[in-house]
Amino acid sequence: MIASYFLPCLWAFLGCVGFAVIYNTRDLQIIWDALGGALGWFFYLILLYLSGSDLIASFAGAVAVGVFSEIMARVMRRTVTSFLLIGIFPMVPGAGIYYTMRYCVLGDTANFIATGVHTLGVAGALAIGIFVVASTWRLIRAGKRKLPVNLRR
Amino acid sequence: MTHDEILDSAARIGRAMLESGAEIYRVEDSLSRIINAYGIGRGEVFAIPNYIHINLCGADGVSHTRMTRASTTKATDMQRLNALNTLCRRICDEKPTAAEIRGELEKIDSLPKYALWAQMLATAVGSGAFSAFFGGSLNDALCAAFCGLVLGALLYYMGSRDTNLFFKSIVGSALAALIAVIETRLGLGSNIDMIIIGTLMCLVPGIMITNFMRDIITGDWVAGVTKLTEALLIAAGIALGAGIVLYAAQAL
Repeated sequence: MIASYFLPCLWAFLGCVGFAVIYNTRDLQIIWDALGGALGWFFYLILLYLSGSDLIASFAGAVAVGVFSEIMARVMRRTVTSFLLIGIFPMVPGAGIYYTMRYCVLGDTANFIATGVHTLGVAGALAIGIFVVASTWRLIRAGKRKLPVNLRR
Repeated sequence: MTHDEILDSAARIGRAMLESGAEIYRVEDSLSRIINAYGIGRGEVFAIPNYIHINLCGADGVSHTRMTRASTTKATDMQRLNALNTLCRRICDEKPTAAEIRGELEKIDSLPKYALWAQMLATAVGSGAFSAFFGGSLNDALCAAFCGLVLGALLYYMGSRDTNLFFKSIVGSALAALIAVIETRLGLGSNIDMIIIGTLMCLVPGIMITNFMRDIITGDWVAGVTKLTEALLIAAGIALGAGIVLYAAQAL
């Protein structure tokens, strides 16, 4: 239990602290950013256990980080991006894209395509998760701050 | 506030936002609000990751245009992005003069960045933690942390000289792989893959590939495809750099 759930979240938290500093985040926000990362990974692990699919797990993790970021952005009066970018870091398919291109330069076409499609799938699941939260949030707050006509989507 | 003053301020703000790592929709949205806030014409904005085009059509029917190119080699900077966002809100609410906006922008440009030692330490913590996160042992994590420490210094140096992204990826990953090879040969770490992938987390375009999907979904197709191209290029550079070193190590 501790080894399979607590430790990965702790590593995700520490990693996010590092990347928050690399992205020039200041003061207490570093801790909140990293908490978002750990929270997202916790939801990822639970959904991975329940569904067995890392695409569904990525989607759930992205939704959790998205909601956390929207709330924290409102509380700390900062941009949603500054929480979101660090929060999804443990889930982004950075390793996937690296292995994809490694198979590509090695000339291993079958693995290149298989890894590439899976990487795009994970990126898509994360993007849809973030997008769903952002759109729903905007829908609930609609009318408060109207967008210019040419930007309504 | 003349048309030109509004466009100049908006172009500077937009460029700074893109370079600090804002999403395309946020840049377009913020600039659109700014140039429409003063109510002297109808404004439209188009942005892709390295280019912004702003048009303001006055009441007399004359169009005023600004285009600006943004650099793609600048480091992501959340503090700057937050400050720029606050400035945008202030412009929409209080409608300050052009001189005031220029003053604010200069203040934002001089916001502090972390010193070299702090960035090296952060890269070390990030690399070590992600190495353990992907399943490396404690020894592997410590090896990755050392790789990260050196890589942090290299990235800081190359970042201060606006090095080309592709070149930065090749050199950075080659260095990380080289140190990882030496560490495993000395028997300090056991799983070289875990050391390398943990360290490479500071280079891989994971965020970029997720944002590319988001841009495509929200309808910024040109921006999305541009970002995908950039991500693939960076990933190819990383694979090449690490690949060459690993291949050479196997041959020796």
